[in-house]
Amino acid sequence: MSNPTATHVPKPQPRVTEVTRPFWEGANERELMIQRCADPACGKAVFYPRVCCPFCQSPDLTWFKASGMGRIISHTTVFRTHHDGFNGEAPYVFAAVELAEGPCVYAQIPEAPTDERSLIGEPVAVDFIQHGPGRRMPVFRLLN
Amino acid sequence: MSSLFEGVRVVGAGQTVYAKRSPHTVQKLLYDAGSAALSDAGLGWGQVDGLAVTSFALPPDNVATVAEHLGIEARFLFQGLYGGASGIIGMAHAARAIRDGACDVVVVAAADAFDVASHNEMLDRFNGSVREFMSPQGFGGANGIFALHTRLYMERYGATREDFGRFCIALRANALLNPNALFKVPLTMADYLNAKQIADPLRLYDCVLPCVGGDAIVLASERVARTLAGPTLRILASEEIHNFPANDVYSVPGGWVGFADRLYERAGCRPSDLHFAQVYDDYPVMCFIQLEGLGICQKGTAHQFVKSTDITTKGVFPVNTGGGQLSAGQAGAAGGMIGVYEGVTQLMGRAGARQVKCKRGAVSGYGMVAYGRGLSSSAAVLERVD
Repeated sequence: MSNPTATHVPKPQPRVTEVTRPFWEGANERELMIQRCADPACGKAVFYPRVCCPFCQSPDLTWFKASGMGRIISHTTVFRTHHDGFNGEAPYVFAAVELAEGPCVYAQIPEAPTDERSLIGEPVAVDFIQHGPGRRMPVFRLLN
Repeated sequence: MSSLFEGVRVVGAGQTVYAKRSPHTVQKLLYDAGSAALSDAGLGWGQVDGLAVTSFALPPDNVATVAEHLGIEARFLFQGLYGGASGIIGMAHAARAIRDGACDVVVVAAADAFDVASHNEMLDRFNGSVREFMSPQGFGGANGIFALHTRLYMERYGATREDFGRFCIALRANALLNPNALFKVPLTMADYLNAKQIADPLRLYDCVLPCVGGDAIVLASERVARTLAGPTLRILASEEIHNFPANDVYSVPGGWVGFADRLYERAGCRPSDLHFAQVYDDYPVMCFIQLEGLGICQKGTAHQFVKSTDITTKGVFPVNTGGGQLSAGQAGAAGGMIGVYEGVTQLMGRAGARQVKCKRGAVSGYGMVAYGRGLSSSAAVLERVD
């Protein structure tokens, strides 16, 4: 769907809430901020941002800076975009990344090969790109 | 043995023609599907005292305003909020209401009017996590989400594009015998493999065509069912599960394994006692996962199952005998009813050219795409009363 007239359509922007603000403020500082359950019996890392721990329902979640390292769980090359804001860059690689801390984060893998080769299990590291005015977005880059 | 849904019968099924475009409102589609199902049963709207409705495009209206619109005084209402799992869930809720004496005749209907653009627009703001942590990241819509599951399935179990192709080709063959289906020409393996790329490894024929249509069934108390001419069905068991397994998107992308044992135990039968399955076919990979989750084949073997088993209406174990969403079309939330409609029609012996020999079958639903997967899974076993 390479529609040249659509390349100036803005990409969809996150609607930041009280719960998710630390993540997006961190991204603007080039830091991947995620939550961790403060209950010592649980202590699991959590993403996407929640109001309570989804493993033990404790209300005590603290924010911390994730290592930014992870592995690709699975990936796709998007040819047909869901939003005209992405038409200019299709085809591109979109992936589920398992962070070293555990949670799954969805992001693009810029410069990854868009042919059919499998990238499952490949190690990646976070980077941040400009996504819109005043908005940085985490992406992951292949380490190998 | 007393059944879970004692005193409740499925008495009719109806479907609108599926169309790429239509001027009809959701109310009109629900009415048409409901009227067809009532007529199939030999009942009229005047006898209806309950409604279970699922439709993405219905807001700002809701099931109560549908009752108002149609002029139904209702003692039971259900509105499906679980996408493609809602048809079966609505059926089960309605059956409990009838069993408990709340009402006598319930129309369970789902309908929608969608095209590709409005479907993407809806999905883009489907829920908070998708809107904030998948869509701005460029997820590619439902196609992207299920491309990830498809690739993972292929890598884990050695399934190939041809395996998914075999499944889609069989469903197309079934659709050609369904006068309401959108697709009217056979699908070849070359068509399937060389179709337009959507979200690798998915190509065009792995993806449903958003369209306009509606499906309905009618449930009635045994008291009412006794007055009707046609065959009636029992719901042997019906299960739903949501967010299963919690906090784990990729080990089992679907909840059927979370209730399959209980489903068959309550139904008093085994998967080998089923004569067909109508599974939720938003993408072929989810059909494989349903066939496995429902115990019709072993985990990780559905790609071999579709190689060794003819799943067309002429085969030994027919699947999605009306062509399913992949070949009849996905009319939004009606995707969660198309299999129920088809299962009921088959069991009543009213499936015309695509009729299969059957007395008992499984129907299955899936929906509410959220952070990386559909959250809601449902299934039921239906049996004709002879």
